[in-house]
Amino acid sequence: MKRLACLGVIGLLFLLPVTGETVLSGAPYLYLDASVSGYLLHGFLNDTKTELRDTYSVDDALGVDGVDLPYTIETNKKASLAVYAVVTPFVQQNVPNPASIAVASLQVDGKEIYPETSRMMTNSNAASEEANTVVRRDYGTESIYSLVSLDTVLGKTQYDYTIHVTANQSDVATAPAGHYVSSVTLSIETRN
Amino acid sequence: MRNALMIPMLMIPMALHAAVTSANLPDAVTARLNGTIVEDDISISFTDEAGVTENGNDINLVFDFPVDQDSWEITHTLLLSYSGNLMNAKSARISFDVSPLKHDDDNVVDISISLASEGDNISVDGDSFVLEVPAGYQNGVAFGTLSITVKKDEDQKLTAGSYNGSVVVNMNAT
Repeated sequence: MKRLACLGVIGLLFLLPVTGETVLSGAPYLYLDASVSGYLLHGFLNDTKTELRDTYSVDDALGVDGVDLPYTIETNKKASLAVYAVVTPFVQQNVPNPASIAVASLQVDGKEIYPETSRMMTNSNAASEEANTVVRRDYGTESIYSLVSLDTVLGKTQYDYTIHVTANQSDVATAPAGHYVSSVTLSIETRN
Repeated sequence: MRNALMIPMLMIPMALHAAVTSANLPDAVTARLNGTIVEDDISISFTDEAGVTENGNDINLVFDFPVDQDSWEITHTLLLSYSGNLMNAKSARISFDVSPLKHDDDNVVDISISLASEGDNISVDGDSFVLEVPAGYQNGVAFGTLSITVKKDEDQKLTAGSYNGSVVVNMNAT
């Protein structure tokens, strides 16, 4: 058995020339199976564009020019994907009654995306009797944006996007002095 | 030799599998956008009777002395406002140092001032305004009027010419 296994492996290495020797009349075949797992990753590229990260931090985000988020999806599967973002306003930090600054604009690769106020989602709350049912989630002060619909193709593994966020400059002009933070949370839905 | 070949070959699928499973990221990824609005200290602006607002450090008021009267009194009133964007509330005292209108040592016209407060959290203490400026963005919040009066008595003789004086505004905020 050990000898047959060795022959089969060598046959994979040198393919046709060796196959002729290994496929002998009346001899048993040895089938070798290998698989590459499918993956679907997403995140923010680091500064050197070599690594995906699940968190990203950017400063000076209240300026009139806005800020860019380098978002990337990596997959080796053929799939239909939808990316959506939940975006909070810029909220003043460390004060009893925080002020907020609205997000005025969100773009993906230069295309303006408009927010939705609610969205149909699968209820993932295991404690709820309605777990795994489809419910409408109201985002309140947050906004939800359908950013990208994507059909991945075999042979391409990386899909890069630039998400551009700009704060409302009228709010900035009249907001109390302080430190403000907004969060942009990105999730992927697979549609098949 | 055959055994030695087998081991690397069987490791190829295992290595591929390890490469794709070790880099798992959470379902949701989050970017944190930080911004700071810097503190802007209190500044005072003045609006004259014509409605012109001046924010600069040097403001000119012109008093035209009557030539056909032996005694006269002229008053100009300015509306005072404050602006700023403070992290924390401050208490401010605004006082005034007055120098008379003077042509030379023998030709001097005295100046007097009077203050009147407007709005809440403002008071007048002698020749000073005392105001509580809240934290946050404030733009042109009127807090009082400053009346500047020049007066000539009947027996006072003035030489023709230019007279210059000043009202210096001091602000002490804590």
